[in-house]
Amino acid sequence: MKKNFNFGCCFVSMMLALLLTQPAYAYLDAGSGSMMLQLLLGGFAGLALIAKLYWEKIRSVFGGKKREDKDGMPQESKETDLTARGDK
Amino acid sequence: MSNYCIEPGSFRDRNGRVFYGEDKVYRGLSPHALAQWELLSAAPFFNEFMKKGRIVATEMVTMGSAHLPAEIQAERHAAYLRHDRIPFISYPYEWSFGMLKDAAMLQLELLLHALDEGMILKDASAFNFQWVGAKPVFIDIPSFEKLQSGEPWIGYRQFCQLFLYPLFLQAYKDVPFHPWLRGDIDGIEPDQVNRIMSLRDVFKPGVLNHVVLHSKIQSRYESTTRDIKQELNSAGFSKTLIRHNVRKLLTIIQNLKWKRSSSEWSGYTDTHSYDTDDFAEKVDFVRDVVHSGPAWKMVWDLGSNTGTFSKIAAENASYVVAMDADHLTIERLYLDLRRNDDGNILPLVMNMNAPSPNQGWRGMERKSLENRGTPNLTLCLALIHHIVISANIPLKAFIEWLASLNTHLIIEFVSKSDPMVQKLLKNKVDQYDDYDLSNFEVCLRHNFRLIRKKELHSGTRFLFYAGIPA
Repeated sequence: MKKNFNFGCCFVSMMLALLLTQPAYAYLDAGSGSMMLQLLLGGFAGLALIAKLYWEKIRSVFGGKKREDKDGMPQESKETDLTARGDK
Repeated sequence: MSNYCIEPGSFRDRNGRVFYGEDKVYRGLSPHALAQWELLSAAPFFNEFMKKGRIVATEMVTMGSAHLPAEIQAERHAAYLRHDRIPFISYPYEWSFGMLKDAAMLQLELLLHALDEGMILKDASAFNFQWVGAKPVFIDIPSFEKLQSGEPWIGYRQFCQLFLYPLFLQAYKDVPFHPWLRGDIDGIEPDQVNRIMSLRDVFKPGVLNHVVLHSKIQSRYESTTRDIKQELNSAGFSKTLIRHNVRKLLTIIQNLKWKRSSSEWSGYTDTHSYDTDDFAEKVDFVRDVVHSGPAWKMVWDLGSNTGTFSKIAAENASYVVAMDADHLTIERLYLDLRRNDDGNILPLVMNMNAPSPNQGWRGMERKSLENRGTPNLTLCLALIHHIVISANIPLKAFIEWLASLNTHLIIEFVSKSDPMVQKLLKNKVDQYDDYDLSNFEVCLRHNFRLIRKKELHSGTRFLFYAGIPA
């Protein structure tokens, strides 16, 4: 139970960080946040959807700054970084 | 000839219009609402909950349109539903903690069952519930709709604002939710409740997710122009997510406790009369009046306290509404009634010196106390000194208000020599020249037909039984 709680807390903090890095727009839309929150409250199925919706964003959070596809070299080094982490 | 009358407060939902006739409630359905009803009436869960009395008894009826009010006819409804009437309407800002909690759990249980059978409750308003005695009843039938695949739970935020946050306020902060719900028809907002919660509260069940995160995410997305509903749909949002969330919410709410109501209240007996002989005489007097004729249709017990006299009245009444200004008192009475499965006493938190007013658009959407139906018998025991001396309402004015209800009355006059009144006068200047027995009796006789009078054993309290003037 404690393990789940700790995992839950870590995950939640991660999500918070994710969300707060998004840019804000200028128009009011009341229920949108409440609908988005249901992804976080939806258990494993919710996590899967978050992954689907935010795949690029998650990748950039774990893999360092996102670079342009045009730069071949930086792209390769990013992949190397991920592999290195995986080995550990 | 139209014997029907339209509910003036029923206009927000364009899909259905409420009107009354022949002691029943009618609802006109739009074609869309009719399609939903056809699904709902065939659903096993709906019939099961209706049989248990948790959903108001409802059936579709054919109405000869010629008899309907012109306004209803003009709306060209596709069909009509007929519901049983709720004996006495009440609102969430009059319920005790336990009542709001039980209504919340019923809301979530209905939602779970509906989801299992391809339907959903499109909103989650606490105003969709009423009470029959100490049992909650769901009344907003058009709320049930076919579950659209890929759609999130649209009612989640409303559930938080009208159920979850008020319950958190009471359980986690011991702050009463009534003034808030009475003051804001939409309930408490995520950022408001978030500001009330402290760092310690963040670890209490439900606070991190449903308050803190909810508030943050709401600010983050309030200015978005994206079609979130469509995005979630495309991504494959399913009812599995809703079910998971609802089950968690059910657990959180089931475990919510209002600490004060679970602990012994040492001040409990302070509200009883000091003299036990007085009490016994009072019981006999009230019981005699209650059983003096056929069953009373509606009894109000104003300042019901422990509910002793409400229960006596219920022995020979169709329905009793027990009202007290003290939330804890009503909560205890509710828990007691719920245990014993009484079906004809409704406990409500109501301050008799400022009872619920008409509210909403043009004062039509939430009815004032008197507008919901007046009593045939009113009990006003050990109350008048609080009204006149504590609340500064003139004696004459209060008696005139009682007379306006067109009710029989059992009223207790507590004189200034009584210890309870002495206590109330202790820190006040005695400016209550109108508060004496002879003036009281004059006011009473002027507004009622006096039937019986009794001086109680202590000599400081007097009981009167009065009827409607001839």
